[in-house]
Amino acid sequence: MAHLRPHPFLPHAGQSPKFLKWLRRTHAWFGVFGAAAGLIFAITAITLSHHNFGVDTTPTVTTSSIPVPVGAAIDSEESLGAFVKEELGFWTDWRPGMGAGMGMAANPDRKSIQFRMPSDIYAITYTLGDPEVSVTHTERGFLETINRMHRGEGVPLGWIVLGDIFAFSFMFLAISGFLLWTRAHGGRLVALGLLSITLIGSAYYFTVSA
Amino acid sequence: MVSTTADAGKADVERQKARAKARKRLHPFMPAAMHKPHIIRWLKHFHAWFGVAGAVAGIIFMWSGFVLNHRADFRIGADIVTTESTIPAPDARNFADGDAFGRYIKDELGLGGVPRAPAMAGMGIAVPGVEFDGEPTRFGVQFQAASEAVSATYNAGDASISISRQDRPPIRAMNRMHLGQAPDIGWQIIMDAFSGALIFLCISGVLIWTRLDGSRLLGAGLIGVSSGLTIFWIFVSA
Repeated sequence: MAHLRPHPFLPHAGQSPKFLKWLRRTHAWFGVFGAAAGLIFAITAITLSHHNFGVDTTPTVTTSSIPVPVGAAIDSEESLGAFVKEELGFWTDWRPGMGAGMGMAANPDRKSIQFRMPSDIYAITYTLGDPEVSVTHTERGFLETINRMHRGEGVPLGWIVLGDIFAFSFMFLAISGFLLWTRAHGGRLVALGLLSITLIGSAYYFTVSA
Repeated sequence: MVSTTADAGKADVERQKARAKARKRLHPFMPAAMHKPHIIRWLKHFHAWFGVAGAVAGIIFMWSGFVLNHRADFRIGADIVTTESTIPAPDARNFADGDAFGRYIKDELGLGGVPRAPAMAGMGIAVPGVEFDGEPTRFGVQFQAASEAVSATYNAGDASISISRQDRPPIRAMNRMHLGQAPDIGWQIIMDAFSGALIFLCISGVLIWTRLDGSRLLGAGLIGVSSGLTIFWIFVSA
C-alpha cells in the first residue's frame, strides 16, 4: 500500500518533505543545544530523588573578617556590598542578608548582606564604625552545587534564563520527536504503549491515588 | 591482467576509504571507532524508543520546571482550597485498628487510593500499616494524590469523624510531581527511568547528530556555550 506512512504520528497535512526536513533540523539544533543542560538536570534529578545516595553533603562553614581601612565610608548595605565585592573579588552582586527584618531593625547600625552562588554563600555582617567586617563562608561540594543548580538556588540570572530556554526547547523536542518517530523503529502500538506508561502513571499520581 | 587486478584492488580500497570518510562526515561527533552502520542504527533506534517513552514525562517536567524556576518571580497558580467536614461514625463508635479505620474512610468517601499513615503517626494514634500497642482510642489516615489530599481523624466514642480535604490547583499538583512528592515508589521509578533515558538521549543525540543539519562548528559551538556557561556557574562564578 502506498499509505504505509513512515511517520505514523505525524498528521497527514504535515507529511510533506519540506515540513519533515524543517522538523528534523530544528529538532537536531534544539537537541544539540540542550544536550549539556539535559545531562546536568538528568544526573541531578537522580541524585536529588535518591538523597545523594547517602553521600554526606554537609557544607563547611568558616568565619573570617576583613579589616576596614580607616576612612572607608561604609554607611549602608550598598556601600558594604560594594566594599566586600571589591575586597573578595566577587562576580555576583550582594543581596539582603538572611536575617534581614528579623531583629536587625533593633540595631539600625548593624548591616547584614550576603553573596550567594550555587557553591557558596558568604554572609556578611557589619556594625557601623567597627574596625572589621565579619564574613561567614558556607562552602558546598560539587554534588550539592549541581543539586542547587537543579533547584535554582543561589543561581545567577543567566542560569535561570538558560533553564527556561532548555525547558521550552525540551518541550519542542518531545513533541517534534514524537511526530518524527518512524515506523522503521518498530510497531506504532508498542510506541503508544511505552508513551502511555508515563501518561497513565502521571494521571494516576495526579488524581486517582487519593 | 595482473596490473588490472591490482588497480581494481587499489580502487576498491580507495572507494572504501572514501565511503568511510563520507560516513565520518555524516555524523561529525561520532568517534571513529564507533562509526559503524550497525552502531549508528542501534543508537538511532534506542534514541527513538527512549524518546517516545519519555515524551509525556518530558513535557510535565519541563513545564513545571519552568514554573518552579520562577517560583520567586510570580505566584504559582491558584490557592490550595482546604475543606473541613464530618461524616457519621459507625454504630460501634470504635475501630479494631488503624487499617479498619482506613478501610472505612475509603469506602465511605469512595476514594480510589491506598490508605496511608499520616505524618502524626506514632503519637498515640492508630494508623494504617503500623502495629499499635494496646487498645487504640484515636485514629488517623490520609490519602494523597498530587492534586488532592484527604485526611481523617477520629476519637473513639465520638459521633462523627473529622474529614479535611485539600484541593490543589493543577500547576501546584504538577510541581509536586516534579519535586517527587508522590505517595509511593511508582512515580519514583518513572522519574528515575526518565532521568536515565534523558542521559542516554543527550549522549546518543549528539553522537548521531548529522552534518546535514548544519556545520559541525556551529553544533559544537552550541554545545560549548551551554556546557561552558554551566561549568562557569558551577566552579567560577564565586
